[in-house]
Amino acid sequence: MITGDTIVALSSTPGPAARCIVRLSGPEAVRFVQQMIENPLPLAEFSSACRVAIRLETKNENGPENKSAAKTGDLRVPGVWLYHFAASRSYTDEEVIELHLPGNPWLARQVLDRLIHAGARQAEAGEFTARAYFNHRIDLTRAEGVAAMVSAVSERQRRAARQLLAGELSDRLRPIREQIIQTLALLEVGIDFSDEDVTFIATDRLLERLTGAAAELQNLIDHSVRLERLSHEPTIVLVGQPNAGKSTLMNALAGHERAVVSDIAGTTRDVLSAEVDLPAGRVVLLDAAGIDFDNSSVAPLVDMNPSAAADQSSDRSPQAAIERDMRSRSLRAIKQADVVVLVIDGQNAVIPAGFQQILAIEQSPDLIVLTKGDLVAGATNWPLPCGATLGAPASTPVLSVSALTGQGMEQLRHQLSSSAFGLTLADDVLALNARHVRAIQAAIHALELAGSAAADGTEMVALGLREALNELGSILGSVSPDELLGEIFSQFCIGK
Amino acid sequence: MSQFYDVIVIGGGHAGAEAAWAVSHLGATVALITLDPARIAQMSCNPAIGGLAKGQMVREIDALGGLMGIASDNTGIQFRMLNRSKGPAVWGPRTQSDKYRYAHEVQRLLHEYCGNLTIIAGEVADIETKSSGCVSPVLSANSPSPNGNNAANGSAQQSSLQPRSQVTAVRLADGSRLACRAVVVTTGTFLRALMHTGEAKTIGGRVGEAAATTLSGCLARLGLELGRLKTGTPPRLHRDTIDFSCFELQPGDTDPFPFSYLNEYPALQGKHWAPPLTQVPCHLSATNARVHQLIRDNLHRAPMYSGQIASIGPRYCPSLEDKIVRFADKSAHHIFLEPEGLDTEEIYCNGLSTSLPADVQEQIIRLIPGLRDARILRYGYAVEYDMVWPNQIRSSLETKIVSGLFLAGQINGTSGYEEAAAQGLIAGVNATRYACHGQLAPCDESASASDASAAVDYINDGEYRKNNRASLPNTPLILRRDQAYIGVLIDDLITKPPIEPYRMFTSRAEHRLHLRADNADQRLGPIGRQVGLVDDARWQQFCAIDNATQQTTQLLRNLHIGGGQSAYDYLRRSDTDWNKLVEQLPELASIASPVARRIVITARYEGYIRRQNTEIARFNQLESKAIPHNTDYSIITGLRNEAKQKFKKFTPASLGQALRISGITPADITVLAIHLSTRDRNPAKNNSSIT
Repeated sequence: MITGDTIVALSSTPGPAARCIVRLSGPEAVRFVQQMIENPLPLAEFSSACRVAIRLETKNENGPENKSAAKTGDLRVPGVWLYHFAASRSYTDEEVIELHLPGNPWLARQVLDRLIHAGARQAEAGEFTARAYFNHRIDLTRAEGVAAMVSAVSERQRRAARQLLAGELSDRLRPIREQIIQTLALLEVGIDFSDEDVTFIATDRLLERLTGAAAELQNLIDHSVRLERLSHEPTIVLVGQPNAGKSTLMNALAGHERAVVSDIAGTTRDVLSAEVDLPAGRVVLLDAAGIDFDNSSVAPLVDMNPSAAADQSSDRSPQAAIERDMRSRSLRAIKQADVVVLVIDGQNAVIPAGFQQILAIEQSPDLIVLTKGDLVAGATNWPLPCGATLGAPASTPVLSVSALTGQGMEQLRHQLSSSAFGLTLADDVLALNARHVRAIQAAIHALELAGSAAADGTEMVALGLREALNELGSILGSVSPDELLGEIFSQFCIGK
Repeated sequence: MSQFYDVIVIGGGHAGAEAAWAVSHLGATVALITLDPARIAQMSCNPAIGGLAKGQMVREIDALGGLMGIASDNTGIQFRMLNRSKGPAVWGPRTQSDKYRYAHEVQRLLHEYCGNLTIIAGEVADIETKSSGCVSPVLSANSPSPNGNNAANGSAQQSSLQPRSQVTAVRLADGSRLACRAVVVTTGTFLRALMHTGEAKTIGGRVGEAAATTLSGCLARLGLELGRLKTGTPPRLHRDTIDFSCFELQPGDTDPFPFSYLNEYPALQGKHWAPPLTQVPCHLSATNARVHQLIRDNLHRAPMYSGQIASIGPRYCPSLEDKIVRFADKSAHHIFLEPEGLDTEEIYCNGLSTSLPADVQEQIIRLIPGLRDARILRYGYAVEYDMVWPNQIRSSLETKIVSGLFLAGQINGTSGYEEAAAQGLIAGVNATRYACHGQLAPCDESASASDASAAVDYINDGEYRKNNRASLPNTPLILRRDQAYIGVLIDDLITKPPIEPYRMFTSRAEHRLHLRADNADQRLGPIGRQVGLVDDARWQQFCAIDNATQQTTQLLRNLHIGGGQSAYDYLRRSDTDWNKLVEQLPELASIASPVARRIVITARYEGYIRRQNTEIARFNQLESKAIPHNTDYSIITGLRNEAKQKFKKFTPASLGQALRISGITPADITVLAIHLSTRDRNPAKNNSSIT
């Protein structure tokens, strides 16, 4: 990307609309626009907003032989609103002009062409924001917010993007970083000024501060959704043993016969998908092929590489190869899903042993569904086994349903909906991208290392705190030693 | 008397002495010009060397073959290792010095070991230069403004990326002219120095001494932008009039550590060093509410508060009046009584730095228990002096606009003997290299890296450069931030012009766990050898202890104690030490203590250092991306104007250094990096610039 020249783009959504907005940014924005408006104003009078008329030479590019060449001549477009943002106040820190035209896409195209002909360059995607970032109008998280906003396709995404744009992440991280800086200052003052008359921080107080900061960072991640997840429809995968009733459940949720069902275990041989509308929105439901955990060794399952699995297996029959391929597809679906639902035959409510191993390696189920509720005696008030007795984390919700009678299905829809959209972006939920999550997790890890180093000496604890600040610095900008010393000097009376 | 010298050092303080020592040991001829040769290496303020971070720097100076460590060991009267309750990375060796013996010892070492050194008494009136051939506008002689503290605003010099003149000679006030190739200016607090005690103002850089009055104008004429800083010193008391029974006794360590490796190495043969001078204690007391009230009542008479001094003093070494104003809720501040020497009755009142009028100082003293009858031998005072904003020097300490002109010490805005000596050493080495070649290759961060790697080959040669000046490299000696506190110091100076006199702290060093007092010789010994300051005797001892350490480490890795754990792994645990290991494996009792100490520290820090090394690697990525000298920042599209101005002003040598300039953000670096990478791809576009 080149910066420093003047860029132009249609900044309203393409297509028919009440107004079309053409935006320019760059040192020559004013000059280019002046060339096309009637009675050009001197720059000084280029005030923030004025109504102008535009003159377009609508020379037809196709040449004189075209009949429409007759139309060649000046086209006067009155009623154009011109907004001028001086570099000192504009979004990009450059001269910015917006032309609000009558909502005619052809007209907008003409204006755009005219400006490009005058010397402006068609802006690349996100280039206005990039300029705002490079010119320090916005920080990185805000720039990311704009980028997310531009590509947002759903209301959820737009809300998340707006948060980033408002600098919500920076605003929430800053107090935590402040806390870490102050803790570090307390350690540094004990190291650099140990012969001074100042009180240092006690170990238990220090650990308290470290765990406090780490917990707040963790809290930030826990109460966030991944921005990437918002950009596609959430996927829910149903997993379970053959004949646990996954396909029946899927058909019931989808409202149509997506999967062939039978009483024969292993009827579904591939990962099937269906779009399902849940209360909070649309999800993609995946039905992973039944995995017969009792009859298969775990190792090939864990290994996602089918050829490696084949090497380990003595059975080289085509049938066995298909089985292995199926399993690896199912496992991939589990890995990539947003929500994992473990489906268990309600008549035999135990988690199969092999599955537990996979869960331990990959992820715990977000929800356990006991199927065939109609076949279980007194299922409606049957005390459901909790997640723990099924070998999953105790907090895992467990539901009993019957696809046949519809029992429990409404509850399941709501449960799936909240698992998939979980954090439905209430006001205190942040959307973070992968870079944010990685940096915050690394900071938490560094704080944990700092805490575990307490017995080894304050200088080792300080190392962890500095690492944590460096990680947060990738979001917020770095802390220089001078800032740290400033913190020390403002708090303590230093100097003999 | 010969009228030509390779290098002329102006000033005989701690920077000047170290510079002269380095030049002379590299085999070049050197003249040291000072107002009063009897006061070379005088301790103007605190009679002490070392301390936290400063002690590490003294060890680094010594490892490189410098002067300060040897002189400190020979004249220390109380040795203490500060921060002993913490890990060895932040231990700071410190000594109370007999300040008279210290100065005499440095003078003796210069006389006896520096055959190429001529000491000249006099005041420098002018530094003569000739045009270096580059077209450059002649600047009017802008006299330094007395309150020129605004480093950021200088614009006159910014246009010049190339030296516009080069040093040819130094002229003294008596009219004599000394021709030379390079000059090292180390003027301390003497440039247009003005002392304040209350309302009384005296011209001079130290009590009873003159000021250097003409040099400031000369530096300004050469195009350097000057600033002004302030520092202060406490009153000195007569020992026999103090009732020491009112004070807490503060004795030195019972097992003193020397600063110099030359005194540490013989322990390998069982010869343990002991301080040659009698050891004496210090005394500790505190101020009280009555003192504070007295100062509040007289604040209007303090030059810092009456407006008489506008320059900025150090936050970490505030005057007593500063402490009382800024920390009004504290009812007491420490006072340390430190002897200034064995044969002098002067006692230094550490903690009572003040520029209040003499009558107020008298009253303060009377209010402190034990000092009721104390007699003040010298009143505390503040001193203001000129300095040169250090964004105008390169990492080599050579000024950017006058080639062959090097600056070191307080003139660069630092405070402290150790900071001064460290710069003196680097300036001395680089001035000598400059004098040998008539120029220095551009400061290139990679040059210092190759220094270190080349050292390995060189060690094998066993060649010593002392009498082989032609073989001195034409690249400057630059220590990186991950190699030495000295590297941190100089890099900080040139990227962040000090707003107060700059003092080193361990917290300034991001690679603190590696920059320890114990391993300074491992870090810098090979570099000192390659530079040519580490002589054969020191080098052989270094190699012997280094070999012993490596062999013993290997032995400990193979020795197993209970539970299949190696002896080395045992030492890594935080609940163990060498003595506990020896209890289990008595055969290790014969290992010499310096070897054991090195191994214990290395083992204890191993995991942490590995973590820090990943940070260093990340850091060196930016550090290794050199910015060409002739980069024209004005043509970089997308770069903020503020960033353009900063880059022009600081001319950073690498992207890493550019990022450390105050006010520069990662986004600026991104834009600069993009520009440099496109420039690399299209060199033709940029061939108009001069190299």
